[in-house]
Amino acid sequence: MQKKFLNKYNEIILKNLSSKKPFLNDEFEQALKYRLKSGLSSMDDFYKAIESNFRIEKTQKDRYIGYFCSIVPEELLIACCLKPVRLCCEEYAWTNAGEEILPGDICPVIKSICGKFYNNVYDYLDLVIVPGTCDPKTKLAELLSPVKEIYFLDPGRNSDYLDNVDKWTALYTKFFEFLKQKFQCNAGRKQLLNACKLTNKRTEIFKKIYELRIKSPDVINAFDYYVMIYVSFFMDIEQWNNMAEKVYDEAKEKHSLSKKPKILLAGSPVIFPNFKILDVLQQAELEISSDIQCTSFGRFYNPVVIDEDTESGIIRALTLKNIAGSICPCLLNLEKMVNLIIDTVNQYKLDGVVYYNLRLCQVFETQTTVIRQVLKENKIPFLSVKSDFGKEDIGQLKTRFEAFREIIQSGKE
Amino acid sequence: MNKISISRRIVQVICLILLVYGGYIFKDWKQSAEAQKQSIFPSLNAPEGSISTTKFEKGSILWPSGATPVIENYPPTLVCRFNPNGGMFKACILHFFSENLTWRTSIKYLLPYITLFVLLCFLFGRAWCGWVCPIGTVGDFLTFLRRKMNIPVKRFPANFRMNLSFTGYVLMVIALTISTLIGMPNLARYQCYWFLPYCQICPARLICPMFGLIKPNWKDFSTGITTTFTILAWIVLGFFIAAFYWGRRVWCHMCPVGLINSWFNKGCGIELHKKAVKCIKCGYCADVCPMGLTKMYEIDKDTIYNQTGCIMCMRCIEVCPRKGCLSVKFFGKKFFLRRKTDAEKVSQQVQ
Repeated sequence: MQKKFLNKYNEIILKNLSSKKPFLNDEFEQALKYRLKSGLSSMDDFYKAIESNFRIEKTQKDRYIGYFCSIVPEELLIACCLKPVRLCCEEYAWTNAGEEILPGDICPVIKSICGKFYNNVYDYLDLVIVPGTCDPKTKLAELLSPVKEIYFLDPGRNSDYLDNVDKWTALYTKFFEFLKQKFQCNAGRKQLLNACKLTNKRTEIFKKIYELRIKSPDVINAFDYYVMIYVSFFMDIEQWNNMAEKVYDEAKEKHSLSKKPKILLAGSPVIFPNFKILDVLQQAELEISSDIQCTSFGRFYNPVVIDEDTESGIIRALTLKNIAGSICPCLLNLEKMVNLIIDTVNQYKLDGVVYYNLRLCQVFETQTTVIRQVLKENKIPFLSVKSDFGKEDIGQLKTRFEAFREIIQSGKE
Repeated sequence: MNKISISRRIVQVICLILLVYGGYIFKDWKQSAEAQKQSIFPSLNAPEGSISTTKFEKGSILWPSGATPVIENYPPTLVCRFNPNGGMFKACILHFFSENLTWRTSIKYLLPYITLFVLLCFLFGRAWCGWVCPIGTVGDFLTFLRRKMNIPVKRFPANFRMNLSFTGYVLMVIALTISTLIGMPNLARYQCYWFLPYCQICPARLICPMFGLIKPNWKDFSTGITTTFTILAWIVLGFFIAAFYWGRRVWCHMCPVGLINSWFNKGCGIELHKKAVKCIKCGYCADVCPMGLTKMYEIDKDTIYNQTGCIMCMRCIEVCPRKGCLSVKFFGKKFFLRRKTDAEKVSQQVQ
């Protein structure tokens, strides 16, 4: 029986809100600005999709399900003919609206999510799935209950496969039963296999683009890449596969012209429209060549490998892809992150690592010292940067990045 | 895709056909007695007063459904004495030891066979179990049936598997002791009951004749001892079928030939390597292992990994999502590279 959080006090909460809508909504201008920097004509479809996202018309049959992390399996949602919509957002304007519910020094991503929900932006959603990964995200299950129906998914904090795979399989199986009962659909082995084929195709296309960007990072530049990732949050998966493949086919014909140093960007995710770090890195003449972040690499890089094609076997394989193979720092994944950074830099001969840390996010910050020490032993240049959504520290960041570039270039000579 | 699995299935089916039906296909090549005398592998016959399988009648447990095999030799896999029409090879290695301990053959006749056996084991380790054994092929077919019927697999913990291996060793030692004891002159009158004790309970004796549509001797209630052996054989066969149907290769933890082969795994020609810095601990290698081994997931250093119990099916190498993490070498040379994805082929071109 699904528990409803804060059931008795919903009316009090909703009565005491005053709506604080942001006075400026400049998403369209942002999209246009980055569209001018892109050199590929097939990226126009992606920019148009961002504009049309604000006018979702819901028909009788469509069911939209919101979710947050990469822990949540999209394949189960697609198998039940539901449309998954990822809700992680980094919009500065909504952070102010969210401060009515979440005051104080709390992660700005969570504040902007709260602000959007309590101002009826997500009326078209039927269900929201909240995973119990970091602390503020866990509390979001209670805070959003007055406005939407919530399902809470708790994977625990231990990421070891041997100890926990039975628990994770039971968790996903219970979730699948809940979906089938609530939306009255009979999804079985065939639908699950079809959904896994779609996500594996997406993984293949993503890997091609990822490796192309490592060799020639300016053919699909960082802005295009992150816009493509953002559009995959809400777009239908088959449509995204087709559009992304067209971009890749156009880009592979071109040659790279830049000789700037290549950087690996690790740490907190970068979500449209918060492209401040990308702007500053470009002004400082550094190319983001590859990344290890949960919205892009951590979400798309691992395939689903199906050995036992029974229904419980497929669900078990999904837990291995989503939870055991994840790089989220909320679970105990520090060694994995360090191994990935060292391996990527050595294999592809990258020049440096920038570790981007969102202010007030403690799990990312606790990893900085260990990564700095290990990379110093391996003689890889490293810079860690802490920033927020505001625009006040752009000058300071640019100075630090330019100094980092000097270090890299003097190290090469 | 899955090139290693496809080639392994082809090799398994060919070996099943050759080893089981070889007696029919190659019956003109059966070695005659004079040719046997001149080869380096001497023929082994029962001495005066000792029993052998050719002296059993049709109704008893140890009646061999085939006559003579094509080649009188004992490869390190489960080829059974009871194959229809003799089969390609004579018997498994346990039958060899059991028979010759009863007959008290002198060691100089046995050395050529043992040397060849050890050499083949050193070359391939326990790959004989994963790629050649006909009983393993039958078991893999049962697994395929189970998956089609959407029945989930039963995974057994490490304790259970170690207990199975221990039971397998205990049964093997008891069988060899009994075989030695009845070879003594004053106990020879028990030979007709206690000859080849492991063969009397082995499930291969009941399965192999059915390939040639010959009815196996599945019951003999004439005396107390034969009744006991009959019932034991049914119990072991029931365990065999249940183990292969609900688990994957659970029998191979207990099989006596497999246990002897596993002594040669650490140091054989086939080596599995892991590069620990590329591992993302996704757990796929431990999940797909048909023997349930988890060492490949757990180790954190660059090592050569050959655990006793690994049947060299190479599933772990096929499913690893990180290119270059797991690989196979044969006497130091790399072969069976993980297949390249489209992305990797393209990235080499772009370079």
